[in-house]
Amino acid sequence: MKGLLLKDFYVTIRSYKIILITDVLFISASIFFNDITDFIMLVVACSTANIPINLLSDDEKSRWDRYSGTLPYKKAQIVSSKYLIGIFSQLSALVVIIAAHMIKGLITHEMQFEKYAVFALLFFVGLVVSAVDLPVSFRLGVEKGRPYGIILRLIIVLPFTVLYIATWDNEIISHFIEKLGNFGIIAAAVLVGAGIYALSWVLSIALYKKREN
Amino acid sequence: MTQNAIEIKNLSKNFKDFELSDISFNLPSGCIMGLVGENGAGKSTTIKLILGMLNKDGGSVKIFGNDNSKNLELIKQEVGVVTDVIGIPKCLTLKEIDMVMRGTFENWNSEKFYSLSEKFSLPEKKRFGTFSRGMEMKLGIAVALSHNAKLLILDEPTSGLDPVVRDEVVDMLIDFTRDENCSILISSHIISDLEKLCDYIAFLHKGKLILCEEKDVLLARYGIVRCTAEQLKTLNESAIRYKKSNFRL
Repeated sequence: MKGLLLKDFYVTIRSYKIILITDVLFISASIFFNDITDFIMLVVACSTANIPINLLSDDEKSRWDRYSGTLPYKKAQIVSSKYLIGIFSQLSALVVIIAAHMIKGLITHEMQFEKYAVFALLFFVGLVVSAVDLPVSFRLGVEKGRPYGIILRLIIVLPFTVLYIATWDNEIISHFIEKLGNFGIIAAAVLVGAGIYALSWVLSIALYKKREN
Repeated sequence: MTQNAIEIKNLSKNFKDFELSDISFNLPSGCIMGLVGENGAGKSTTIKLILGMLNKDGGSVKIFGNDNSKNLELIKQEVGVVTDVIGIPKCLTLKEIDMVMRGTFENWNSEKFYSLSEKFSLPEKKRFGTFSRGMEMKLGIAVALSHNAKLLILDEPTSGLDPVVRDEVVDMLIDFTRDENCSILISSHIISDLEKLCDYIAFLHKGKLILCEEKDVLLARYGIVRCTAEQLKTLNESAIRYKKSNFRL
């Protein structure tokens, strides 16, 4: 699988420079605009989340998806390379942002550990975004799968939004959230995010095995 | 007993508008087999089924005596493939392609890759996206020949190449099978290449294998007669298998 990861690494560096540069600009901006840091981080997480899907789209355009079928790789390895790139790119962005904010904290003598945990949570949101798009794209192809991906996002987001609005003032839930505390909520969200990503990974492998190139 | 590089038995695959049915043939080690047939005859489908890129509906495929439905990725370590489209990302250079393939094939030979690239005059620093069609095919051939493969599976490998390079490639393929363990399955429309290269010819037509025979036997048994309608009448009808008339001048 080393070859697959290396190929994706070269393509990312060459073709998605703009995403990487934008991420760096946003991360730099987040240091100076404290009020909108969380929003900026969400933008970085979501743009980074597109890297695996963009790589998959590139594979289709260059016909690598077909060519890789002639190389000594299992279909599971082809799928896994995209999920590993997803984790690696999100983690890299997370490390850079936390490092940048820690340096700022050292200078201003104001370490905000709770904020770093929120960053981690936002990057798991990025992983969940990839987790929704990748299985459909592996089954149908990126272009054909795009509309289904949008519908799927709505199907997933809608019940959570309705639940959130409906329970906004609910005392029991408010009490439960209070009891969990910020770190508890973040830990739970990270666990759910990781679970969704793992489930998506397994699903993509099963779907890609059925796909014929 | 000589091992077969490829053994295909009753291979079939159904699509909505096409059916590959009951294909059986063996490619003995050290031999070259040409797959011929019109466009849509089933050549590429057969190749994809051998490589596990399509799921077969029936029959079996063995490569080096191993069923291709098990551990195909290990078998493919010894198989070099060139298809009509070389799907290498456009942004990669030769050096990066070498690195990717080094991470892909256990027996990747960088020295051989660079020497073939030089022989084919492939630019070292240019990106694959800037290569001409001929250069793309040459790169595909260089990749297929650089990991000590024992079997080459080639789908229209000489299409898009100029006659000089085509001859070079054909000579290289002949050299490849000087080792008695190395075999080639090649599909092509260029009959002159196949005549030079092949030991066996398999002829597919509308998804069916019409014949699979040694080339020398075919040449001994069949011939082409170009004659006038009057001369044709003088020939024994039973000797004529196919007749084409009304040529335009």
